[in-house]
Amino acid sequence: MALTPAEQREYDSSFESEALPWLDDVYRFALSLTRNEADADDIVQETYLRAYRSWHTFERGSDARRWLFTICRNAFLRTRERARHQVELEDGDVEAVASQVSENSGSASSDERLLTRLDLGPALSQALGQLAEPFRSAVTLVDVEDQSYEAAAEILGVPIGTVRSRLFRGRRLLQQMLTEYARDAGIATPITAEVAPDATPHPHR
Amino acid sequence: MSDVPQDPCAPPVGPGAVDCAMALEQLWEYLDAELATEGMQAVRTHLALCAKCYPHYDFEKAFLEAIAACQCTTCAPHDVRCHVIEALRRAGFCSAEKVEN
Repeated sequence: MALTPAEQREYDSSFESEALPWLDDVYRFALSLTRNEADADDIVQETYLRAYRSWHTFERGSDARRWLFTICRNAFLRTRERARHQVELEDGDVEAVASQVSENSGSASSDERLLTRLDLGPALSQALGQLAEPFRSAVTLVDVEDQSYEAAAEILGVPIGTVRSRLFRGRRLLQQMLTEYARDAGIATPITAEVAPDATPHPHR
Repeated sequence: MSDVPQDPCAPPVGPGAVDCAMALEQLWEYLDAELATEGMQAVRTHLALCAKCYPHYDFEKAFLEAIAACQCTTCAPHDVRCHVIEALRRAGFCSAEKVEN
């Protein structure tokens, strides 16, 4: 049903004031999914076009950013399907990758000490860029975009337990990459016996 | 009250209390404020008492803050903003925002 001019102005005005301010956030999320600026540009355009056309379905007062993230994620998946480009690891592969990370030979304390000597900013940016899906989107949503586990689960279309698992493994992968970075940079000293085998955080699933 | 200092790493005493292993297992969920109220309180109490676990908490907290800090300043390039506005206009959107070419 066509809108009257006044209704159209209200439609556009509310979209501009509630959806457009999240463009930076949507871009960051799109970039985390695509890891490519040109692709992120396309995904953000697609996200906002779909959001604009569906704006009448958006429930006023609810979280517009979460809604946009969901559209963005779906736009990314559709693009990926069209391109037949397999980016996301299958669950079996996820388990395999995670298993290489989760057991860190009880040296969490030494790694923690090592990482405190590192300027985390640049190294973390690089590590995040290298973090594989589906870990990257979970880390981006929760740690960068400050979404709850529940919101991230809704955006990603997976159960909360899956978000928790991907998030924790993603964080462990990042810590491992940072540790390797520090060692490559010569910041690390050899792990010595001074390191007590302290209890290592092993977040449950 | 007993004069004997409590050993927080001893098996938990009382409903809801947690030992070191349990506290560390729930550390990220605690930092994310994703535990239930009782769980948040139990981990908070343990960390306040346990010199062994607190450094882990300190490290993980700094790590999570660093992740947020290293990305949150990334903004959409001007070109992306222009492309979005232009695409929306082609779809009928009338914006007060001017696109600078």
